[in-house]
Amino acid sequence: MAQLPIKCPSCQNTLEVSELSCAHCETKISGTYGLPALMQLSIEDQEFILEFVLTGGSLKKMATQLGKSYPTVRNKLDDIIEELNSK
Amino acid sequence: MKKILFQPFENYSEKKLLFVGILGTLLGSLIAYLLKARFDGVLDVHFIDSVKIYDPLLDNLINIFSLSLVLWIAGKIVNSKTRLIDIFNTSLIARLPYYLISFANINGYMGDLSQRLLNFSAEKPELLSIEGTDLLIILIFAFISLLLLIYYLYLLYKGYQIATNAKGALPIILFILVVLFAEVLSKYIISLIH
Repeated sequence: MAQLPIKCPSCQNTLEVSELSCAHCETKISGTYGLPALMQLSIEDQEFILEFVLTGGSLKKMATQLGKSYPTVRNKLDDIIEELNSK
Repeated sequence: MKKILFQPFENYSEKKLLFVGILGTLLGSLIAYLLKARFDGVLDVHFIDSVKIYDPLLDNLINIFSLSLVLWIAGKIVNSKTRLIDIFNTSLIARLPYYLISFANINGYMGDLSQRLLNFSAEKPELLSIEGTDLLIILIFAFISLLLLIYYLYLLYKGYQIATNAKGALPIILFILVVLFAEVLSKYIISLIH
């Protein structure tokens, strides 16, 4: 599946959703919808959060699964939290 | 190999790092005893005539304690989530390459050479018994020691950076200050004991 673009290729501002469509009946809805904060993160960060939730929020388990040290994983989470707080 | 040599703190669990660090420190201390080397300060190595069996281990324990203490305090200032175990592992692992300097004193060569240089008298330069090959070896030793010192400080900073999630100039300035302070602290403690 194609990666959802979140930044405008011309001016680098965050993109908004302006049209939604139903793949079944082809109904189209137009409007202006902001992207949820999580979707504004990079794919790598979104996958990290998904993994974090799937491991029950255990950084130690995540570190073992990813083959990284505990502080490396904790730092990644802290960086994502900082990025989400800045949005 | 790159992971082991340059990114150990990023990729290995604290248990593995602790195990390798303790084992390496014991081995490094044993080699230092056999080759008559003293690590009498966080950044120091000296070759002497006689070493007691517990001296190198005691030196290294004091150095590791001094480094861990000051880096942990700096780490807490930079990031309150800094864990003591990560800083302790950093101090243990970063020092391991530095222990290789002991090998320069196989057969007491470097200690003897240092002693000959220390005995040099400006009034009687003809008494200096240093040959061309000795000078070349001193240069090679100085170069390798410098490389090992740089590698030691590189590992120390990488470990500290990962333990504290350090970003910006403040953590770097703090790191430089506390390593210098650790040198003074370790020298002071070692001088109190001996």
